Amino acid sequence: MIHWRLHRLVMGPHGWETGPLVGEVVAADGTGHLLIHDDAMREPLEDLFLFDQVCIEERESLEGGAGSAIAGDVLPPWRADTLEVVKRRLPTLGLLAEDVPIP
Amino acid sequence: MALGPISNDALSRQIARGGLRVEASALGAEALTRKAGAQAAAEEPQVGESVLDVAAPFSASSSCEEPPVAQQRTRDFFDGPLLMTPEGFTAATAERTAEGATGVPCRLSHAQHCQLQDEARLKGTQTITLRDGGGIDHVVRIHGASPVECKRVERALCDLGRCDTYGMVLPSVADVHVIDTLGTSQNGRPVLGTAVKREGGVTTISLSRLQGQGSRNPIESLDHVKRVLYHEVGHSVDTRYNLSGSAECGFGRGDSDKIGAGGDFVSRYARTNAREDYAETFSNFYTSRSSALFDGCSDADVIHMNLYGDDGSSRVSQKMAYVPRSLGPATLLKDYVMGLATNHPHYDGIGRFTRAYFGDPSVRASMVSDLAQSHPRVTPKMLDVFMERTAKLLKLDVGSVGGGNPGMPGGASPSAPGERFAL
Repeated sequence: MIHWRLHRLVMGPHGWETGPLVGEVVAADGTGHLLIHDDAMREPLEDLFLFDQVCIEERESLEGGAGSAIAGDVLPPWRADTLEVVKRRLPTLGLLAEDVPIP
Repeated sequence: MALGPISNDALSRQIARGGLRVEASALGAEALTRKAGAQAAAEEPQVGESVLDVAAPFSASSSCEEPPVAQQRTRDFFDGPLLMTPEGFTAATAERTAEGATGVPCRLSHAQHCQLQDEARLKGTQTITLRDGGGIDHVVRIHGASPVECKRVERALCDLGRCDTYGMVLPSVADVHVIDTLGTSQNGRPVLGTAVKREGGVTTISLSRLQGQGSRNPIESLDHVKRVLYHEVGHSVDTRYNLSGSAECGFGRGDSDKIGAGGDFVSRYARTNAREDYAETFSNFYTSRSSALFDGCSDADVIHMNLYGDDGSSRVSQKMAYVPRSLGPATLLKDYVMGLATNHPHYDGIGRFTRAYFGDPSVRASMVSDLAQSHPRVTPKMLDVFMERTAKLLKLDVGSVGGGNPGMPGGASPSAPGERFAL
């Protein structure tokens, strides 16, 4: 089971640091729940957690070198490997996941 | 499996199947509708950033009010009857057999990709005007997109344009096509996007809805659109300016087990080779840089946040810092000057061109005027410094611009204080 608190990264005196809580994620066995505390972050959070995550995995040339195609794996929401991908992407959007200890 | 050309009818049937599938499942329709409404309100084109010119819209697509998603999907993507006739079902079944068990075409040829792009154009084109950081407008055409998809692509491009300080990025995007499916790769993975070379050497971009490939339409996700689109734009910029080949920070090199903050590569896929490393690093940097959350932050701050936990000494951090640094006046002027020097029959090489720059005032005046039109952020002093460095590298004794050269305006030394920039 995963329980994350999602914080914004804010600029402090020593660089970026954990800021206000914007949402929470609870997931287990391929299902999960996204709780949004900051409505301004609704769109990026829903983008990350409710959509499949598509990871670029390969590129191949079209015939005759006339272009190329990128292909990837589609990871359905709430799976453990999907959440790992999402966690790595959070700082890209100025967010950070903090683990909440599971009793 | 080799496929014949995809006809309009075949594509329509394929679309019809997708429409019925979505309508039947209607997954999370309420949540999607709420989201679409919220995004429609939040994503009105911002004045000065983008002007939407609806050339051939989907019916009622220019309205601010978006219909409920389930209804919208069938109406936007399907202009025939909503229910499939027995004849249509038979044809679709036959076609599915030709395509494979999933009904999704396998590996598509270049001709098929071009045909899919042409068919997307028939469905409607929206022309948007994007302004780069220097105030120059660039026109991008989005083909075959529904209103929601169009907003995502437009927003991703607008955000990118805001960060394109020297106008080096936006010119590499002219046409974006949204297509139901782009088939699969040789290894059976769904193709997410393509950069297709068309007539006249123009490269055009396609993005896939992954219809019939077991996914919700990813083009409704801004994060996804940015990642795939910016990755392709990264390749385009790299091809134009040859940035991944820079020895400065070694794209493509590093420990393949070290991924992310503190590591050597920004993503798993970045390990593939130098070009993919550059494209992935470009995409990651601009996904952050283009977020309104970081307006006013320096590039260094954005990189520090993007690689949170990295102290800045890692290879991935250095690679990421190179991306915005490489898209500055030095690269731009190198490309511009080399283009003039090598393509002009009179100069025939950088040496003669550099001598002409310092010896013939009209050459410099013409370049200054041209740059003011195309790249207003590049000042005459930047050009002078660049040309003096070029002359020094070539060991040409040409003096300095303005020094004893009465035809040169200004007459000040390029290193004079008052204008700060880095080449």
